[in-house]
Formats: sequence, structure tokens, C-alpha cells
Amino acid sequence: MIIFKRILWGIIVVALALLSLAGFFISLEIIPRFAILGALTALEQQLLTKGIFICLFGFLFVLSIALPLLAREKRGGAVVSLKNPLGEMEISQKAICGFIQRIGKGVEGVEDIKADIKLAEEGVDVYLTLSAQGQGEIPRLIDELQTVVKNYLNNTVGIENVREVKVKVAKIL
Amino acid sequence: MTSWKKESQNKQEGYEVDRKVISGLIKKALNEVEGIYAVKRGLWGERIKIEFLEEGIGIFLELVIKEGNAIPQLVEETQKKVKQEVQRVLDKPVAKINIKIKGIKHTS
Repeated sequence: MIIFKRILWGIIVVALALLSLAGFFISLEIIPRFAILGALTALEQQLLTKGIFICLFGFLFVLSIALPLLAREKRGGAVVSLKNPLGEMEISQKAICGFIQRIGKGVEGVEDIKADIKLAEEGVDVYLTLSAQGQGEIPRLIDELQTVVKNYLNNTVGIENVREVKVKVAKIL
Repeated sequence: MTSWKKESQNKQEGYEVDRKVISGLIKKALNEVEGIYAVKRGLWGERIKIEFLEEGIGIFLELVIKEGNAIPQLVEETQKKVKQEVQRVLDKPVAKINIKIKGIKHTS
């Protein structure tokens, strides 16, 4: 599925690049306008080529609308899914990451933090990227942060299998 | 999916209940749950979806909750409250209540 999406993204990027390049060259008159008009008129005259081009541009248009929507859905997609006799519950990744960032900022020595969550079969992996204050001890800070995030995911969100909380210190202020 | 048609309900029971009424009942029940901040709003209004299924009413909600609550317990409480309210007023079975948490609000 990921490879299929990558191919579609590749098609749309290449198409956009070619169209932009064509527009650029036509504006600079490197490609003469009458040549484009002539080519378009020739296309119009043959039903088969006309049909092919309608399908091609229609496909590109649908892709240009669908791909950003799919990407948006993935960003806000459900990460935790639990079931009870009354129904199902899902918590969006965006909601959890936003809240992890908020509780992370509450840890002493953390200046700024970004969180990401990846759902694996055996559990959940959390990736934190932080800017830390210079006067704090980094190992203690990381340890505290991992404990706080793990406890939050266990007790508040209901994720029992937090596999690991990876912390990357990107900046020390 | 929507085989429990309003028309057949009409013939059997002589009345029909609009989705807006059910939506109002759901919102009333949600107001009674302490940890719920709001129903998530989309481009076309609040994200409350109601389906009429064979087994009863299916409810799909997208919610923003307040921080500080254990989410599974809060969701279960919400499901119970919504189910009780809808069943009490309409006397119709609620088949399922699916809830999606779309945000956690910091409330000081």
C-alpha cells in the first residue's frame, strides 16, 4: 500500500514538474506558442488520442485532490483502538501527540518538545525530539520524560504495551 | 446498512423520529459527562453520525475531551449515558456507540 501511494505521489510530482516546466518554457517563448496550439489541434482531431488525454488529465486531477486528503487522514488517523460491549473507541494520533507535547513541557528542563507515535503489532513506539535547557542533567531529564510519557499512555490513554520511548535531544539551550 | 427504514417504522408505529432529535438527545447526554469538552465540528457541522441498523440505532461521535481523565473509563461512561438517554426517551435499542477522540483540551 505504501509503495502504491509512493508511485502515485511520484506520478503527480512528475506531472506537476513537467507542466510547470512547459509553462515556463512557453512563457520564455523557448517553446513557440503556435507549436503547442498546433499539437493541441492535432490531438482534437483524433478521437482516440483525445480520449486518452481526457483520461490522463482526469486521472491527474483526481490524484491531485485525493492524495492530499489521504495524507491528511493519515496524520489525524486513529492510533489506539479499543472495544467494549457498548461500541468502539479510537483516539487520534494528533490528540495523543498534542497532549504528550503538553505534559512533556511540564517536565523541568524541557524547553520544547515534539512527539510522534508509531503503532506496531507488539505495541506502541513513541519518538520525542526535544530542546533542553543547558543547566539540567540530560540523562535525568530523559529518564523523567520517558517515565512521565509511559505513565500517561498507560494510565490515561489506556495503552498498556508501550514498547519504547525514544528521545532525541536536538538542541541544548 | 440502513435497512431499518423510517417508512417501515411509520407503518408499524405511526411515527418517525428525526435524526436531529436523536442528535439533541446525544448532546444532552454529553453535557452530563464531566470530562467531555465538545463535539468536534467539521465543515458540515458537528460530527455526530446516526445510522438506523437492523439491531438498533448506531451512533458515531467525534469528541474533544478535557485533560486529566482516564480515556477508556470516560468513553465507557459517555457510551452508557448516551445509550441510557436515547433508549429512555425513544424506547428503541441502541446497537453501538463508536467514539473517536479527536482532541484533548487543556482546561485550567
